[in-house]
Amino acid sequence: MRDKRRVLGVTGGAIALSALALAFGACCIAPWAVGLLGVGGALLLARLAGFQSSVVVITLLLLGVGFWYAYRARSAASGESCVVEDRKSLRIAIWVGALIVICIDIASYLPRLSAFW
Amino acid sequence: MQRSRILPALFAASIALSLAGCDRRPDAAPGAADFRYALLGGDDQPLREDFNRDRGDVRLVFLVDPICPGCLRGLADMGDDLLSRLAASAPVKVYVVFEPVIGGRAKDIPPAAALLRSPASRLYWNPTGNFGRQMSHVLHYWNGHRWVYAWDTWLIYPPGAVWDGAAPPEPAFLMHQLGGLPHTARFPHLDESVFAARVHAMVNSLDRTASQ
Repeated sequence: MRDKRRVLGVTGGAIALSALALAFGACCIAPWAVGLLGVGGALLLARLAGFQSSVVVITLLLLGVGFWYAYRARSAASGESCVVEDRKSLRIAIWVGALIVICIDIASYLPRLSAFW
Repeated sequence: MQRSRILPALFAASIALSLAGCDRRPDAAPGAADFRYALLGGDDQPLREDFNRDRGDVRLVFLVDPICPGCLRGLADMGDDLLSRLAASAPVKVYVVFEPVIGGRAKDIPPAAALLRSPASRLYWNPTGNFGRQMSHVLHYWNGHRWVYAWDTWLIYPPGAVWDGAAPPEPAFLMHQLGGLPHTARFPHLDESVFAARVHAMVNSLDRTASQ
């Protein structure tokens, strides 16, 4: 039960941070930034855009932590009953989360790459 | 909220606000309503006339979209690192050409121009965007596959530059923040401190020439 919460926590954090990376990646060509955030907010977004790669790295690290929780070998301590946990659904959740995060991370770099074509 | 959480939250908020430029004093910059812009027509007037009239001064030309966050950051940094530190009598003229590259409109110009903190800057609005296409060729913005539209570009013209042809002259120095253009020695990425140093060097050489 505790692992489920941890896996969902790190996966959710990774998805949220990848969305932030997407905002950083798109900010400098996105027409919505000023309309949505005002000049000051758009300016802040542009200043923080330099952290995009760091944020992407953190999302991947969070996924790594999630996979570790989902796949680590669990052994019951002596005197305790076996841990019964639905590991399969946990692993499906982390794989789905990883797919979403990687897609968003790649998408966050597309505005930069598309400028070359 | 516990006190231990309030202080970090206030600290983070103050950093965010100062990054966004909200820590500037209201009297340090003119209000957005104080800015007026001229329409830039097909013959590049009145920019051409202003440029030639100011011959003898160092001239800076900025090509930006008024809603492009990267351009806004460039304008704010130019205001902070360069223009607000120049003496009022400094022989430097600034022309900002706003282009509708990602959807900027004329109404977006005043708040963007306010970031420059330089009420003497001359503002131009080129609704057709033709000026950027023209400047793309002037600046040789060829990336090996196609001509790259000239915007988010920051130019320095020496005091002797004259606009006597159909197109503007080549600048002495340029910087840009374009993804489609390689960041090379010829096309360096915008670094406000380097840009400001170039401007100061040119102004100083002008002062020395005048004193001789």
